[in-house]
Amino acid sequence: MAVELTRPALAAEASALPARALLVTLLRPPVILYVPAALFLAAFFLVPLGLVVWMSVSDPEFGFGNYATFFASRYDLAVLARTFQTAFVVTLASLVFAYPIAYVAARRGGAVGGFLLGVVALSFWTSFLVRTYAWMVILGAKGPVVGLLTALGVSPPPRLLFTTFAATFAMAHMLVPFMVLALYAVMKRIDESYMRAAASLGARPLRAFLTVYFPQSLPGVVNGATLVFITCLGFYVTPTLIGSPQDKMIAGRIGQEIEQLLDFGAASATSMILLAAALALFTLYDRFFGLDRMWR
Amino acid sequence: MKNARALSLRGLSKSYLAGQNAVDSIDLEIQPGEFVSFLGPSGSGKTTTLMMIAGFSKPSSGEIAIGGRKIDSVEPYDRNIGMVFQNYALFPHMSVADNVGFPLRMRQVPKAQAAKRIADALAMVGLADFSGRKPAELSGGQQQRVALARALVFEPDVVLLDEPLGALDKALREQMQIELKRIHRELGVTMVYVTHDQGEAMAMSDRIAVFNRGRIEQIGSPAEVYARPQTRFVASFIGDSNLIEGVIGRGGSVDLPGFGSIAVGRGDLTPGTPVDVLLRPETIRLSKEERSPEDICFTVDEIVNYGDSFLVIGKSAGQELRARVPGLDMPALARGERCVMRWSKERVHIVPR
Ligand SMILES: Nc1ncnc2c1ncn2[C@@H]1O[C@H](COP(=O)(O)OP(=O)(O)O)[C@@H](O)[C@H]1O
Ligand SMILES: [Mg+2]
Repeated sequence: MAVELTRPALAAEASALPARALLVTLLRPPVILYVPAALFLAAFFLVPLGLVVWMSVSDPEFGFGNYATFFASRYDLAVLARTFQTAFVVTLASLVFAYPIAYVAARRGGAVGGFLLGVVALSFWTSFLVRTYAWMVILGAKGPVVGLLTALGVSPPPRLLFTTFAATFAMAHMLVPFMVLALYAVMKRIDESYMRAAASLGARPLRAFLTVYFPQSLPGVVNGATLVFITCLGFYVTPTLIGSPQDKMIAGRIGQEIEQLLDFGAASATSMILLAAALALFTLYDRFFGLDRMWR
Repeated sequence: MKNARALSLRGLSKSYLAGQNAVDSIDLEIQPGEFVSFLGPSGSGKTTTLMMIAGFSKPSSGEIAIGGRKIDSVEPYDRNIGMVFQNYALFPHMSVADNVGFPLRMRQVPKAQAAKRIADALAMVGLADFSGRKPAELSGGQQQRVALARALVFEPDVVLLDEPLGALDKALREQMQIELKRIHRELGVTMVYVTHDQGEAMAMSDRIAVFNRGRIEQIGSPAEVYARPQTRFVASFIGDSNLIEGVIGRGGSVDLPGFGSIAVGRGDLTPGTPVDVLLRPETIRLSKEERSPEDICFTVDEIVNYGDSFLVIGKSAGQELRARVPGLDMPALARGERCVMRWSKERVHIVPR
């Protein structure tokens, strides 16, 4: 009852005193609750992004020169293409690794599920840098993998470190936990009765999985893939430290432009192009595979 | 219907924890085309029994046969049992028609024939115009109908339903009960129906199996389990009841302290045997006119008006009793007032203890 009385009262005030009414509206709970978040986003996201945009069109001189240079450079375009290609492969690989883990954890539960999630969480909490160094040791010239290959008579043993393969593999490994958690969150909500219903209707386990379980886990696949793909696009440490110097990814290129060439304008433009390309890709993706629409 | 099959459970047990049987040695013969309800409180083993029949849970001992064929080693997907789940378990990414067609696709039924059977099944549950919808676009009652159509379309040998109406509101539940009964009559398929709602079991079943602590306490027609319960649990779980402790006297009578001796013609019971006497509330009549010195006095504690009838709670010979009086027969009574209670002797039922 109290609410119904206050609202007309506020409306009356609004027509009488516009300025004060505006203030009242702004200070009313729903609006005021946005303020901290809005301030935070403005200070730490909008302003820096605006600065990057500004730098990309004003350094060294005003105009779109930095962008023109990027699109005229075969090298830069190749780096951009390779970045997306690598991110795609990494996403696919981490999906292949993560799906069975998440599936078993979600459906088995109990000790097995807890153990799997524990291992995933442990690796999730270990920093990218530490895990990158771990891969350097594992794949290094004196590491266990090369040692094993030598012992098996592969000679000369292949060089593993500083290759595109090493970077891709390590990135996939690092992103598997994200994928597992995204998949697990969705799979945990797929009730056991769906698989039972499928079985009672005559579906063998594989058929039931393909026709009933997998389609229902797709939202998790999309969430996980988005997360991994975006994270991978911006990966800097791993490809720089253990990837092939010839196969630079775009974050590495931006780093090079800033640290070695001191070309802040070009670096800003490259960043903006990466952002725009990612947004464009996801807009297209959402248009054609709007998976949230799948079962509505 | 050609697919109606008998279902037998013999000595069926399931224990999750050692030494504790969730289902304890159940024997049950269900006739082809019969509608049998599993009725019992939550945790009494109904779902566990159903899961063993469906093949999702392995019996600790005992055997299950359908149409005389043992199915213990048959996988769930080969059992040809239709199942309706409490949460419906409709596949959210498939249309209504695809859901209902799912079991036909699994059986490689030719497309044209499948289309006809899907249409027939949907028409049977009154959803002929909904085939293109997704489950999320249907109401709870409609989803329930789709689940039913899906469980029936492949002509299963037996249909199992686990509290299928539990999530629906009362009016819809009653409507679905009637419809389910109609479908059962039309198809004549063997149905096992799990519920904890005794009214539902009474209204729908050919026979009711009353579950308690993993055992079947009694199996019989609704009228039988209501009028002649064999255990105290069945007497109190089904319907409203008054149970009065008594002792078998001489010549087939029963002595009820404070109520006197009633001839019940149970010469088969040894005098001195302690028993419970079941007195259904609707068999008790209340009156303000005393007729004979044998009349039993009843003191009214509480009166609840249900519109069509009154529930009168009171005491007689120190024992709390409930009487259900039709609205038209209700004498003008007030709380605290004393009146006379009568019952007809042939309505009294002895429950062994
Ligand atoms: N998966 C399980 N693990 C352990 N105990 C179970 C499991 N499922 C059921 N139970 C136990 O078995 C008993 C019967 O349960 P259930 O068959 O679900 O009863 P109802 O369906 O009659 O409510 C309950 O005591 C329940 O706790
Ligand atoms: Mg149950």
